[in-house]
Amino acid sequence: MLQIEHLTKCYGEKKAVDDLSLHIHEGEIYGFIGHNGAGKTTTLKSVVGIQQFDEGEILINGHSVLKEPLVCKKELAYIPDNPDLYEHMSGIKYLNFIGDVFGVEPEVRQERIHKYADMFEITKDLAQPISAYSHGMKQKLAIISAWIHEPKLIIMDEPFVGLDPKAAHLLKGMMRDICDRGGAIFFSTHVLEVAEKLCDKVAIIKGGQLIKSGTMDEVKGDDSLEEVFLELEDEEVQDVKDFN
Amino acid sequence: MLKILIKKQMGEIFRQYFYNPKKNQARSKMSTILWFVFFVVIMVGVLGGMFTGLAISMVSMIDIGMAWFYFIMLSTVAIFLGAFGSIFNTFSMLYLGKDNDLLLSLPIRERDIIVSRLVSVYLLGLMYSATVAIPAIAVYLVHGGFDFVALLGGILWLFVISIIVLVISCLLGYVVAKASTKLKHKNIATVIIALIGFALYYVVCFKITDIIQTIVTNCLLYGEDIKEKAYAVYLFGAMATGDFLGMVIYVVASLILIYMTYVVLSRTFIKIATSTGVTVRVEYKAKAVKQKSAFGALLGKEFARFLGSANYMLNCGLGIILIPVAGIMLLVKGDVVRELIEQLASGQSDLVAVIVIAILCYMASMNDMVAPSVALEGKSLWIVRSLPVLTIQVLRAKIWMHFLLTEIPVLFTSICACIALEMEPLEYAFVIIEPTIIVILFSLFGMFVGLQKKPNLNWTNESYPLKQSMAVMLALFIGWGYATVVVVLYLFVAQPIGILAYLGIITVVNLILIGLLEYWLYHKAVRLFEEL
Repeated sequence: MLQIEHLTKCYGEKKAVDDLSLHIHEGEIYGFIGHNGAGKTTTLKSVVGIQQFDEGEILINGHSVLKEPLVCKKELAYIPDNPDLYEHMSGIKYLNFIGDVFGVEPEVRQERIHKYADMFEITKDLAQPISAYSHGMKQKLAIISAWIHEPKLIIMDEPFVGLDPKAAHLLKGMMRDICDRGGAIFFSTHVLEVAEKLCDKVAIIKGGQLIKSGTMDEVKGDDSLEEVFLELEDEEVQDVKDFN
Repeated sequence: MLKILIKKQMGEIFRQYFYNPKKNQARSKMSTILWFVFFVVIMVGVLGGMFTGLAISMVSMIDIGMAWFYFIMLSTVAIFLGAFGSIFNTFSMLYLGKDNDLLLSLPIRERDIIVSRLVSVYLLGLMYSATVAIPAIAVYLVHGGFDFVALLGGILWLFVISIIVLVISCLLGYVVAKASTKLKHKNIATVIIALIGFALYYVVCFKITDIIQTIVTNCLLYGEDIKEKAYAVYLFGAMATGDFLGMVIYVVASLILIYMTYVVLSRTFIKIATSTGVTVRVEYKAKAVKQKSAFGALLGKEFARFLGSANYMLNCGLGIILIPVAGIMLLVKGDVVRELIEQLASGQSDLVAVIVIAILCYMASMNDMVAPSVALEGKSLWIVRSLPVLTIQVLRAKIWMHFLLTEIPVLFTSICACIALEMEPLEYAFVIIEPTIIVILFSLFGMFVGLQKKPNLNWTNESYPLKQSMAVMLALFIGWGYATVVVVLYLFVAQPIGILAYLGIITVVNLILIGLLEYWLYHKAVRLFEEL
């Protein structure tokens, strides 16, 4: 579904992502964890095609993000870490805008909008301008807009931030549902408990480099994901201490 | 802390002067100086030049010892321009900063936040007022002979004017703020109020020559009346000529005004800045939707963006109203307008078509919605970048929004001009075709200036990309400059070749420029947008 091969992205002299390779298959929920500034968002944005990268290749269902961006973008949906939506539009106008761009038939679109808006309990608010929405409501709207064309691959950057417990629970169900129907999810999170319970596979990135990846069991063994993550972080701290 | 906040405000306003977005680094000192020089040249050269001419036309008042009246007249223009230039942004600059919550949560005195924002409003008003006041002082000193006390008086006069502008702007900003917390349809209400203001402004502008002429002719008579019945007004003008009493009274009064403005603002600031206002609770009811194409959706998004912001409409879309108003004027008051144009053409009938085209070109450049459209994407840029649409479609939607909103009124007024004015058959054709070509050219040029100077997407207030962006200023002034060139070139160079040949050449030149901008759009603009 998603192949990231030797991805490298530099900001000036600094390598934000360094030779990162990952393969995500159909039916997989793939968690992406790492400390702040590790390179998670840069990687996700590169996959979505909104960030240019220096080296490597990203393929979605065999299509290159660089060479066939439109084909790739039709297959995927993206939810950023901060739901900066069009504040001047109402919720329903925004969803219709997304539906139009993806060519979702009006009847199908309406059915999906009602389904997900009812689930997240924002149907009544859809006529309100987005500027009047709370952070959580914007996040819910961003999620509905991502699901509106039933993409095969969903890329999410910290999707649970700002969601109430019920909405977070619903989202987890929606993620599993997409994967059960042959899709895939690639998302970053700092909530390690969620990653541990939800993900089929996980990748840990540090300083732009992939330091561990695989199935949950392969990565954490008998420990918790938190223990593994902190251990890997400590190694870095220890390396620095040894160096000094 | 105040210094830091002012620095932050200034950094946002003048970001482009200190920071090179292309290289993602600070500009060199020389580059910053050159940018400021360029800005000054634009302000002084275009607006300042216009008001120098106005001041020169009134020097007879200085000659007959009525210099104070000369300054009163120009004070009115300076205050009017200063207040008018900043009024529509004062509300958003004072109260609508996106960093309101952040700043109010930090251990910063509320006073410092207010003062730092007042400084921004003050500088904007000062900038506009100074384009009238500085030429007025210069003309007075050159014509009446240099005098240090008069220079000091002139500087204090400018200071007092700028304070009056600040107070008027804040007062009206406060009214808008209070109204916006109560009004249900803020954007529409703001636009309607603003349009009434504009209508008054243009009525005054239209009659200003007559008014000035009448006052200059009767200045001795009016002057005596003012001195007798409104001595304070006399003192205001006398201050600029170096009158000591006037200087003292008005400087003290200005300081009191500043303090009072501050007191009023500080008592109401938090309440207004943190108010979410009245939101009409519209409950969603499912309606049948029509499927749009991807481009149609993008175009709809651009229209929604434009209509969703009073600030955007007022700063960049005035032509939409003013151009058809000019067309209606042509139909209703055709005789008067024809006479006016014939006066301008000095009896040369071939000039009518050139003047009509230049006026339409001038008015068309009052629509600048495409210039800030990329910057206005702000932090929502990720949406169009992640959607399955071509970058060229995104840019085209912005250009089309500008084109449609400008071309429809321009075409209407072109037709009105053809009905109301007598011209040769081919001249009619040019009056219809040429403005359309110019609108296409300006639509592309607006995108060029908006994108070529890497737009700032990290603004904290919508006013920055709309009001303080170099792109909008360039689109407006270069459009005006172009309109002037069209007339001047014909008058002084191309008249011997005849009007039709000249308009033909202008058309070809415009088409070549459109071709070049189209090439830029496909080859460079797409890349620039994708690199944002």
